[in-house]
Amino acid sequence: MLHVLEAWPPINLTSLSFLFVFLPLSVAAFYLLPPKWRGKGLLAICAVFLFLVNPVWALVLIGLTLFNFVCGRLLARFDKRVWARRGVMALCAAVNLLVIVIVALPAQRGEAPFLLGFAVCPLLGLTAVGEFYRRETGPESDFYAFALHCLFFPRLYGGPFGRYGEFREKTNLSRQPGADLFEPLSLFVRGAFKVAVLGARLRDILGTIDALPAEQQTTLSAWSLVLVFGMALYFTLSGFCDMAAGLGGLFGIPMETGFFYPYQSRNLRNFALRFHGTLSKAVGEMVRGLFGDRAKETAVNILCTFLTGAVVGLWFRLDFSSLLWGVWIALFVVLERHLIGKALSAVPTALGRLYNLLVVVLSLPFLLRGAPWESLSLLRGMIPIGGASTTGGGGEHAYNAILYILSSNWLALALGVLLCTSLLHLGVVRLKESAPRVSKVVLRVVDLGMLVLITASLV
Amino acid sequence: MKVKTMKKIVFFGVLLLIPFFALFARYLYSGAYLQEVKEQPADFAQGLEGHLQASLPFSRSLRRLSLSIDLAGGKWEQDGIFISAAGLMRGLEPTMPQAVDVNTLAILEFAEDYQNEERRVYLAILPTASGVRQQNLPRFSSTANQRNFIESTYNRFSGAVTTIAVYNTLLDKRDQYIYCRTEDNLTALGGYYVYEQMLGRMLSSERSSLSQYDISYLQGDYHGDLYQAVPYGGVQPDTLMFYRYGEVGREYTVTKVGQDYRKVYHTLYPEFLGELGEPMDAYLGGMSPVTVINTNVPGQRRLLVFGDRTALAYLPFLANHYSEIVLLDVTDASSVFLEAAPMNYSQILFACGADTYMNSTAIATALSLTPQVFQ
Repeated sequence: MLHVLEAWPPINLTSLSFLFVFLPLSVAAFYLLPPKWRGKGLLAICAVFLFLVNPVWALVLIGLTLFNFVCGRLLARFDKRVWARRGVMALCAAVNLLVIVIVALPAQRGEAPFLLGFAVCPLLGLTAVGEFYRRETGPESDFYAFALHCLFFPRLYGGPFGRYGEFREKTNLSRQPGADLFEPLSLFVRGAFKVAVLGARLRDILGTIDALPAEQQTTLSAWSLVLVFGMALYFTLSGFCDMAAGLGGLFGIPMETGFFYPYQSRNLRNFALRFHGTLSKAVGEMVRGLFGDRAKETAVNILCTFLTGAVVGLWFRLDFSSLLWGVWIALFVVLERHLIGKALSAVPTALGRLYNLLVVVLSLPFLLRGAPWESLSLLRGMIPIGGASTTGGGGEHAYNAILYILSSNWLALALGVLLCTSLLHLGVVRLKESAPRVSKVVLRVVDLGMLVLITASLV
Repeated sequence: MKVKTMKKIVFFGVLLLIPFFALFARYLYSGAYLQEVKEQPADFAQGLEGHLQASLPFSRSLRRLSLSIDLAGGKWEQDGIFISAAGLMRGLEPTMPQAVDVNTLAILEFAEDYQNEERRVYLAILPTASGVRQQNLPRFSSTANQRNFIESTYNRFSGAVTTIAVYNTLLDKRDQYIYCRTEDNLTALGGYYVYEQMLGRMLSSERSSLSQYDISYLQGDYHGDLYQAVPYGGVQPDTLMFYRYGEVGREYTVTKVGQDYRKVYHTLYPEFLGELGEPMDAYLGGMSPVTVINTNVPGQRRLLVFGDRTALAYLPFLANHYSEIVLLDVTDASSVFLEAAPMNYSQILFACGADTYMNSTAIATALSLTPQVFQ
């Protein structure tokens, strides 16, 4: 399973301890501190959270962040020595990637748990050092600010990522609490609802369909498995990013979520920006940074797109199948850029969306299964052409099994499909335009309702 | 004081009150929370989460809300328990493929060794509620076909052991109150119908009628183990009833024997146990590894039963036909079996729920502990 869909330790962003103890105490402590101490105070809050989750791992993350900070300082020191700078950057990349690999491989084999932030903290540190290396951002001398960027606990679950320069520029820890806290709080609650209520139910359904014995697997169950996986992944990951962005807003650290209804994109280029866009952006910049100015050449640009796709795929899971997923998406991005882009922009919007959805859905088996042959087997189960289906053919009993799962979860599935589209979002926008005051009240009531449902799902 | 300052105070006050309310509202004076604080931070986090789950204000209402939403969303099965207007039913799926073979071979071997003209061996597999009330299960749901399972298992005993068919009887009576609505067991009435079939096969010369029994009630609002797992408010609570044989002068002694205890009740229904908070224990004193029922029924017929919790439903009726019945709870097999079981029996009955027979090797395990009884 992907690390973002794994069960997390007892205290996490969607636990009762966090919602009703840690969060209120943290926000109160943060705003009670004088503005000049808030950065350090927030870092201390992050450290407490990490220690509560896993003390040893917390020390590793802090150590890694210190290492990345030292790398950044060395880059500033070796300002004129090109090879020394390259060496520092290479060492920094090697150490951070090693940390990811060391945690991911045993966890993927089921021999160890996934550790909080193993795929986020090293990447945040590495991309920040990359910015220093490419001189896009000036050198950092404040360790606390750098550490806050890398160790801000809400984003350690799955992002969002972001440029260090923007973090430094936009962070405002000295503001006073007021009504403007409602918006980030609302974003946090929506994210928590996605993860703890909808995402959790979809992950349950996914597990149930996946556990169907071979003789009960049908074409319908194969499609259901892939579609439910797509929704579970979207709601879980985007929920974590919403929560992180909401909490960031609460503490004065603005962040993009990186998700905006990706499954209804009009093309794959659009999809790449709307499906964990901050990740592909961060990886893309890192990859292009390797090639410097040559990245603008067509051939190198294509190579960069494939490399970005591959790395993004590997970020989800370190195996060949996930790499293929990233390459598959990158292939269509390249095709759209260089071959079919104009033709696509001429087709009706609905057709474009259908094309995007089809390409994405057919790619999901590669992300779902850990081995390419298993992914292909699932694809063959979805498209039983010429009797090539690998399904068990258990007849009516097999169809009843999947129909039972679908019918006994119809509400979660229907809500999932609805929330994958921007219909509700458009409705809210319209309401805000036509009746701003009413919309405020309605949204607060909805937020409160969601908070109740989140709590109900956790007790 | 300025309005802005007031707002700030209210803001921080609310923030600080939330954890206070969550943590200490219920345990303010008990100090229970402090006992849960462990030295290790991770353990502390786990303890805190567990404590909040247990003690968060309105947690029961929130759980009900969560369940209601699940039901509205079509999820009429929770943790393997089906929810219907007729009651809660535990689903049954084969989870232990070799269990049926192991139990069947153990009984066949036992019958071969110990069955003779004076001592007959009987087998009754009792279907569970989900096997009989299939019309109440959600659409497309799948549970084991208990009718087929029981028939095919009985076929394997053909000629070796006398089987007692109860499935069709219970199916015919499925609209009556034969299964508990909140507990995974037969009601006393269901037990009576099972007993009727047993009587027909084991003591065909004797007759019994429901009119011979006086009915009394222990409580009408019993919520059993299934309800504890799935607190669905739409299910009607169970009514605990006793069927007392009307013949004057009938005396019973029920002896419960466990690893380190021995209790004696001079009634089939020690009602005071129900009043002490364990209503189901009012039937034969509840389950224990060995239960011995002695009666003043004329004659020396003795019955040994290898059973499970279903015995609580039918054994009070059978007690009126034997001078002694020994029930060995196969799901709680222990060395106590060796001490408690007497030597000579007229009949030996294997009677357990389809779930016990299908998904555990309890009968085989129990038999492996008992042969010395028959030496």
